[in-house]
Amino acid sequence: MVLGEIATATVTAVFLSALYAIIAIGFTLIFGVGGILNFAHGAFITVGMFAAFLVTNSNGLVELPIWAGLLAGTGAGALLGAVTYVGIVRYVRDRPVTVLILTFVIGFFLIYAIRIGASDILGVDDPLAIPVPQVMGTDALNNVFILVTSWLLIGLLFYFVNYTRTGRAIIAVSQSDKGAALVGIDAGKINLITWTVAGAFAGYAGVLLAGAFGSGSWLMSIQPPAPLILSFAIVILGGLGSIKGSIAGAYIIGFAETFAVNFVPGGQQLAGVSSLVLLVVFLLVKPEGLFGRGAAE
Amino acid sequence: MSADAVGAEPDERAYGPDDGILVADDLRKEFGGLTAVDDLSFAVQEQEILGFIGPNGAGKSTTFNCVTGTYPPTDGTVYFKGEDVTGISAHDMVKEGMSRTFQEFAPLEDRAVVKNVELALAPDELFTLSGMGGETEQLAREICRRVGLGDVMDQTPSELPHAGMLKLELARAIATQPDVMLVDEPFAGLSGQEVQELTEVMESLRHHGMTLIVVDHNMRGLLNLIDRAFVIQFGSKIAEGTPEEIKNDPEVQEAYLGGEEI
Amino acid sequence: MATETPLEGDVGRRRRQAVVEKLLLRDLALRHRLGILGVCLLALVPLLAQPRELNQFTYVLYLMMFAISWDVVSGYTGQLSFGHAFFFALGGYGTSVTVNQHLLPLANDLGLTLGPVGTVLVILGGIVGGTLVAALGGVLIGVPALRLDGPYLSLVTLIAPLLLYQSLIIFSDEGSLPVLAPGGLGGTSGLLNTPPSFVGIGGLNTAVTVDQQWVGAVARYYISFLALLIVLAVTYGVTRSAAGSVFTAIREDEDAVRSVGMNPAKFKIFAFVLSAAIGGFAAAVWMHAGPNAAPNTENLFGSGRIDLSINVIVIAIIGGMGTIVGSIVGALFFAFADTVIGGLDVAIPGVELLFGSELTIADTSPLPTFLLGMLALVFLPRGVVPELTRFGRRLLAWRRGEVDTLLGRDRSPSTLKRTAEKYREEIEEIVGGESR
Repeated sequence: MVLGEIATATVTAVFLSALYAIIAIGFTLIFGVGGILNFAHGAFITVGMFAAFLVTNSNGLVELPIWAGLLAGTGAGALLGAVTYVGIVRYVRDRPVTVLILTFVIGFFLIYAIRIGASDILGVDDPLAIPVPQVMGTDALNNVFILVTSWLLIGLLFYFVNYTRTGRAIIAVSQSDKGAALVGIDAGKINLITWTVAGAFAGYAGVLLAGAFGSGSWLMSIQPPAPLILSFAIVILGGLGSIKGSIAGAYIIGFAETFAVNFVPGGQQLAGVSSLVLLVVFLLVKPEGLFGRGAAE
Repeated sequence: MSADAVGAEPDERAYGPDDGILVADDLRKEFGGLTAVDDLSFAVQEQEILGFIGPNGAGKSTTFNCVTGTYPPTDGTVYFKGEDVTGISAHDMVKEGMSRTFQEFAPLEDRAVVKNVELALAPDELFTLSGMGGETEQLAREICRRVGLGDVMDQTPSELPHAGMLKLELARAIATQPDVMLVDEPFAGLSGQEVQELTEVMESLRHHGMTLIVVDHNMRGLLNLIDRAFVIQFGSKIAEGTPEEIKNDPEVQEAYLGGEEI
Repeated sequence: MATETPLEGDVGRRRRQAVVEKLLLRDLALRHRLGILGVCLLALVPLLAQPRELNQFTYVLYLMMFAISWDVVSGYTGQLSFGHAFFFALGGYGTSVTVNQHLLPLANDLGLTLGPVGTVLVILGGIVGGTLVAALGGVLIGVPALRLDGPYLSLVTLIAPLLLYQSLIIFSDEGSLPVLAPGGLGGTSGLLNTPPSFVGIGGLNTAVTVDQQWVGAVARYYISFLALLIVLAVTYGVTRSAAGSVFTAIREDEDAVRSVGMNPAKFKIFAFVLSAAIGGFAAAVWMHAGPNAAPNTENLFGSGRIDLSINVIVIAIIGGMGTIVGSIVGALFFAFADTVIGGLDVAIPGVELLFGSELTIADTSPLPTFLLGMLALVFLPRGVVPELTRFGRRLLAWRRGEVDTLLGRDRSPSTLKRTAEKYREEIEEIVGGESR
């Protein structure tokens, strides 16, 4: 029955979108606050995945249950975000071209390091298939877990950003560095917090993504569903720097992709690639996004 | 009864393409709910130096942005040399023969002053021999000398004082060989002597056949230079005539009351 | 009429004469003479190297061409391309498909047996085909790029090769892409039938057969070198003319370009198409003349789909963006560094202790070269060639007694720094208010 198919597709889409939302949120934060498009975002996700592997697999460092992996991934992401900001980005924040190229190269530096680490040091057979277990035993439960934590975490983020002092400081800095400084907000500290939180989200997403797909990969940032590109797509669709917009964008893309894969003839080919195609189409047709500032000149 | 007072020109008259080298007819520009240019009409005569005056925010820049192609007007027509050029793009306007200087100087910092002028002499072609042979450079140097940049032409723009940047703007505009040149707020920040120098350069340009429109909010430096003035406020014309007539016009004086000196 | 040349007399004739004078190498500045010396040295490499080394060095020539291709659009017009392998792949696959799936079958159908000359003609046809396909790719990216700014442009350039990669997989089988590539695109392992090469010892699938390894190696080198000379001639012709200064002006300030009567869009698209054509041309020649060349993703995209794209960026950054010579020097430097690192079979201490297996520095490739690129970006943003040029000028000036000290702070900021200054000024204007 077509209705049944639509229902199933909708459920799948909801789960997929929830995952996509977590993937994109860290990227949005960094852009919203610092105006920086963090090309290393995909690498943060990959590092999260790798940390989980290290902590849950016999080839890694220790073998602990997946919960530890989740923590490790989130922590690794957070640490990486902080280090990237403190160690590199804050010195070149005023050189947009440099930041662009630098985050790009850093991102690929990291994933190459992971590949070398995985295959050469740790003896993983195929760095394109780094085993990371799902959080929950069954697919269905896992999806629910993703859905629930997605809304929970984003809800927490929302609360944080709108109702706490630090959170509102983040909004202030995102609107004007200098203006924020005038009311005594330390933009450097805020940026650091933002990058850390963004990294944490990315790391967490990496673990979930790898689990849902059965394994992670050193190239996962650009292999379908290409979370790096996906983040761009979601954030541009939703309007740069807008959290609400990113969530909307995630759900739009999630639904578009699920329905395309299920109902368009030959749609399987499009799985994971639809975000790339959508992004290109969107950039060309309506670069202003739905909610916020645009990508067009 | 009908006071044919100076300054009370018939605004309802429609301007046609042959009324001058540059003609604007019922020009209108709205930004959202704000009307910046309110059915403005004027005609610039060939080889005159026209002053376009008004307090800050009067709509001078907006008017000329519409005329020179930065953005199209909401309504109205622009005629240049008899042709309808409403809404054509900025670079096409330059090709037609209308150049302008910009208030916010944006010289190219990666090259010397003379090279900045050389760029303006570059042909709009992808494959060109221009640039080989040094001729363009010679011409660029000549132009620099004519505007008074002779001593500094090999420096980078960042090393120029304010007056020098202005001259660079002029040189760049001149290099495109315009028939009509719009000079945007040229006297801001200049010393008395610099004002004089600049006035002489512009007189010389007019003498060589160019039509000049000088836009400014400060009348002091302007009145010695211009043949005719056009005063606007809130997007509409409030007076038109010779500098003497303008100085004595009551509406103009009121517009400037408490503001700039006349 | 505005912007027509105000110069007197037969300007065209005088300019042509000037170009001829330049070609005859009269009256050249020192740096041009050094450049010509460098090219001559490159031409003499085969006399100094062993065949196997020569094969490796031939690849460096292609790196130079790839980097020049990147520099033309990214260094000159400032449209940063993060996925330049898109054009290389189009060129490489383009020529292979043209030759193996169109021209050769056509010759077969016509009953022709192709001798050496015929094969060379077919190869040239392939190269033309590959270049055209790549140029088309340039239009495909260049036109939409007009609507995009900075990072969004770069993002689209990053996506292009990824989509192409996926297409190679989707259309990998025979018959999946009827008219264009009846034999399919080969997927990740690439087209199994390598296209014919110019020279080889094999006999089959080569135009000219030689019986000694070293002859083949030398011949391949010179064919590649010829391709490099062609690329250099074209890029020099464009970038040293007025069009070149328009390119860099676009990078600095597009409004300035509009205000002098030129349409930046035209030049921006041209830059992309030129860049794509050069990249495609180089890749196409590589398929037929290069050492170990085969039309597969590993070669044309680099490992991991993005290796080559990143390498050309690193090369151009190290050598100097916005100079053509920088790409040449950068490629030499890059190859040198890569070779040196590859020879470092030194185990990194501590790794064995912690993880039980050994990791030599050589194993960490390509990380060291990425690191070099990042360091160059931060500390030497202008690149080696511009820095050396400026140092050389200072040296000469010092010897002429024009300056007191040899080392001094340079006033004119680098491209990157200027971009930053511009952004900072704009922000201050917004926040600080009018200061006039």
